[in-house]
Amino acid sequence: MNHPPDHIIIEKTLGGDVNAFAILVDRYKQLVFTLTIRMIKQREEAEEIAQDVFLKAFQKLQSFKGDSKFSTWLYRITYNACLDALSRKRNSPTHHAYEIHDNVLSITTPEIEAQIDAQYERAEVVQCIALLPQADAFLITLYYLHEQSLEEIAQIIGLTKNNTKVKLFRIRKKLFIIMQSRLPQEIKMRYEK
Amino acid sequence: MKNEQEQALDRWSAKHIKEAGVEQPSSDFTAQVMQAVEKASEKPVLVYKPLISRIGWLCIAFTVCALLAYTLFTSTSLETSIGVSRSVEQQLEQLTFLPLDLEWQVPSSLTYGMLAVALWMGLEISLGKKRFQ
Repeated sequence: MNHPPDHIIIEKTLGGDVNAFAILVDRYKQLVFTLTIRMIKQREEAEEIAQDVFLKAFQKLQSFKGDSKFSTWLYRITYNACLDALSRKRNSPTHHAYEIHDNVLSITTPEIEAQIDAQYERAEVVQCIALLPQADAFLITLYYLHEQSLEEIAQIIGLTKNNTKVKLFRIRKKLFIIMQSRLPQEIKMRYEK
Repeated sequence: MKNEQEQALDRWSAKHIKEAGVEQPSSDFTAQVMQAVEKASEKPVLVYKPLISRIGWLCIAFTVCALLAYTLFTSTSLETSIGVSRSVEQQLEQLTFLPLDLEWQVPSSLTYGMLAVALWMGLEISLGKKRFQ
């Protein structure tokens, strides 16, 4: 099956073939929607925002100069759209505050990791990610799922590469604590003895 | 040691995030986006059209010129006087009796012209309203 690169489709779209844009929508809709739902945490609203993201991308396509990857540019639009939506909502945060201690890593053992791995199904992992603060959930998904480089992520969220690295490390720890805290009590007690 | 632990946490996070996978939007997601995109890409249908066409302006110009010519060449004497050297007192005195002495002489052509303009304005306003509604 022929998969034309992004820049070819962009050229076609800008040349007047509006339907060519559908290829880009199909190519990135899952990733954009996943990022949106991780941040917004509400399916219907996330879908509306994701659709708006593509519409904005289409309207601003002329301004895309190709300095970065199309996906990086698109994720930046997604991130800003989510931030706008969250600032409009001004609801109380939907995540719980989890304290991060420096000794988190020292208390983890391969056994606990193995227990977590065995315990968690996909849906539960998704629930744990949803407990992360909105921007953190976005960031960690972008890094691991979309395999964006640190430079690209820094560009998307407007931070330096080093800050992004530190932020990612803290998010990983938060996710680990969340998953660990949701383990059944008996498993935790077994390792605390 | 710490670096190793960080790497372990990195591998562990990658495993779980990948396990969580991507979310599926609704089946008509692309169709809905493309519908909005097509709507946005449509050029505005409203094309500028002057309220008074070129022919309309030519007719108006012709009428005005004709009225002007008629006024200039057919009207009888219509005297105007401007008091340049009169004193303020004289002017005030004149003003006091002005309403009594004044005789309005409006040429008939001017009356017809004003009537025509009023008629045209009324017509234009009603037609314009109809068009914009």
